[in-house]
Amino acid sequence: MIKEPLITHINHMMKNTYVFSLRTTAALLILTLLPGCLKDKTTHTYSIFTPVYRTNAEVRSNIKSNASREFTNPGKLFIRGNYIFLNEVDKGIHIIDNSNPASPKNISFIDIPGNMDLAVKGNILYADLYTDLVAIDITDPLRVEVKKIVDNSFSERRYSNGFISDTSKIIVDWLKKDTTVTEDNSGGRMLYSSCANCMVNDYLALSNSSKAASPFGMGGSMARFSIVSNSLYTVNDATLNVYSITVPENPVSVNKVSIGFGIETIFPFKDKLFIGSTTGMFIYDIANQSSPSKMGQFSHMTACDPVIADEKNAFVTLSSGTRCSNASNQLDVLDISSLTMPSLVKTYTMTNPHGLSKDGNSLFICDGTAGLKVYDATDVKDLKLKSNITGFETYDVIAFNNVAIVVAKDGLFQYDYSNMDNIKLLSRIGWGN
Amino acid sequence: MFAKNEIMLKKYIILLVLISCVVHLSRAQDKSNKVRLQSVTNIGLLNGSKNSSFALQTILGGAYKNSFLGAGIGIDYYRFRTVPVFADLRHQFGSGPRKFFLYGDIGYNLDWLTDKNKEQENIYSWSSTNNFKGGLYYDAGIGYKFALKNSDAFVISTGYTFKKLKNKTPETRCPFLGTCSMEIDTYKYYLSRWVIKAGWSF
Repeated sequence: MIKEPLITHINHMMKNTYVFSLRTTAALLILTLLPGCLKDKTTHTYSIFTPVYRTNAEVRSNIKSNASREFTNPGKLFIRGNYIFLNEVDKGIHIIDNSNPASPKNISFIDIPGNMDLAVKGNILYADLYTDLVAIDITDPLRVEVKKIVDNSFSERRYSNGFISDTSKIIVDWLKKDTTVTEDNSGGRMLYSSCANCMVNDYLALSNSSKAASPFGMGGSMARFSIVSNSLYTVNDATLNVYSITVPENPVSVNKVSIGFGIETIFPFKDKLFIGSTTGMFIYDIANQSSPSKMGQFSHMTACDPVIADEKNAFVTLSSGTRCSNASNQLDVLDISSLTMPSLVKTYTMTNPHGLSKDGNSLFICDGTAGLKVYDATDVKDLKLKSNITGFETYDVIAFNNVAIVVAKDGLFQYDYSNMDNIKLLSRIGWGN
Repeated sequence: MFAKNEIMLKKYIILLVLISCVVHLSRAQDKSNKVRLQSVTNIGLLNGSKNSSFALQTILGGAYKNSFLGAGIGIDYYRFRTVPVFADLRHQFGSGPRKFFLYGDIGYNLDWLTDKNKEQENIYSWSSTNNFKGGLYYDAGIGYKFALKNSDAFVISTGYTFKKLKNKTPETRCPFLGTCSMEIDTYKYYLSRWVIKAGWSF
C-alpha cells in the first residue's frame, strides 16, 4: 500500500517535469522559428568611377600642345631626337625636351583621351585615342597639329562588364567616389562586387596596351606600336594591324592579320617582327610589308613577356603578377639563327622582369623591385652582371647612345653608361609618392 | 593550421579547468565572503539566417546576493569562427532553488577564422587577400537556474546575440608601365542570431 503523501509528491514531480518539458519544447520551437525574423547583413564599400564626357569635337580640338602637366600615371615612352614622348595613361602624351639629359624639361602635354601607345616616324606621331588612330605633326613640339584621325582602328577598345559608354561622346576622365551598399546575406562576398569596379578594370586593363620602335625613333620593349620603313604595325590582343604610312600624315589601314591571343608587345628587327604573347614569342616576316607572314614561334608558360632581338638572339622576360598568371620570373635567351625554329639557349632567374633593351653587348633589364640590371651579354650563355642599380621599381628602359632612359614606379631616370664600370645617374623626373 | 587550432582548443580547455579549480579552492577557503567567486560555463546553439552553429563560453566573476558580474571568453562558430571576449552581468529573481535570471554580455569579437572560412570568402572575389578584423559582440537573454548541491547549478538560457566583423580586400592592378593602383573593398558583416545555452554554474 502506497502512502498518500508519497503519491502526492510523485504527482507533483511529474507535473513539474511536464511543465518543464513543455517550457523547453516551447523555447526550442521558438528558437527554431525565430531565425526567420533575423537576417545577417553585409555591407560592401567600394569605389565607383563615373566617366566625364566630352563631345568628339571638343576632344579633337583639344589635341594640341597644351600646357605641361604633372606626371601622375605615366606609361610608355618613345624617344625622337632630343625629345621624349611619355604617355600619361588614358590622358595623353607629355613632351619632354631632353636636349640636356642631365636636365630634362617637361615642356608640353598633348591631350589624347584613352591614349596608351605611341610611335613616331619623321615628324609624325601616331597615337591611339581609344578606338581611333591619330596622326599628329610634331615638327614643332610646342605647336603640334592633328593631321588625320582614322576611326575605329582599335575596335577592341570597348568598355564591357555591363558598362555602356555614350558612343556619341568620349570619356576624358573618371571621377572616383566611394559608395556603400547592403548585400545579400546568404553567403560570402558577392561576385558582382568586383563588377562595381568594372569600369576601372577596363580602364586599367586597357592601360596594359601599347608603345613603339622604329628606325626613326626608338620605343621600349613594351611597345604595341612599331614602325618599319613605310608601315606602322600595331597589335591588339589577337590581331596585327598594318597601316601604310608612305604618306606619313595619312595612315591607311592595309591589312589585319590574326595572330592568336594574349598578344602583348611588338619589336621590329630588320625585316622581322618579334611579337610577345602570354604564351610565347612569334616571329613574323615583313619582307612584304603589308602582308606579314609567320615564320616561327617559341612557346613558354603563361606569362607577361616583352621581347627584343638582335642578329643572333631574342631576349624574352617572363614575369608573374596580377595580370600575368603565376608564372616564374626569368629571362629566356633564344637562338634565332633559324627563324623558323627558335630554340632556348639559357634561362636566367630574375625577380620580376619587365622591359629590356640592348645596346651593343650591354643588356639592360628592368627587374621590378630589384631595380635596373645591366649585363655584359658578349656570351649569351654566360651573362655577366655588370651593375645592379637598386632603390626603385623599374618597368621599361631604352638604352641608346650611352644614355639609358628608365621608366620606374616613381619617376623617369636617365643614366650615363658610357663607362659601364661606373654608370652615373644623370637626372630624375619624379612622380607619385 | 589544424595543429594550431588544436593547440588553441587545448589552451581553452586548460583555462576552463584552471578557472574551476580557482573557484572551488576560493570557496573552500572562505565561505563567509558576501561576494562569492563564481563561474559559468555554457555550450550553446546559435541559430541565424545562414545556418546553425555551436558556441562555447566560460565566465568568471563575483556574485553578490542575486547579482553577478564577470568576464568571459568563448568560441563562436557562426559563419566565421571568432573568439568573443566580454563582460557579463546577470540578475536572478526569487529565492528558491530554481530561479529565473536575466543576463547581458557586451564585448569585442576577435577574429580567428578557419582556412575554410577564408576560402569561402575567396570564391567571391578576384582578390585572394583577406584582412579580417573583429568587432562588437553582445548577447542578452533570459535563463533558468536549477540549484544543486554545494552552490552548483545547472543553467539554461536563451537570448539574442550579435557579432560584427570587417574584412578589407586589397587588389593591386598593375599596367604594363606606370604605377600600380590599389583598390580596397571593405565588407562589414552584421550577424544576428538566437542562442540557446546550457551550462554549469559553480
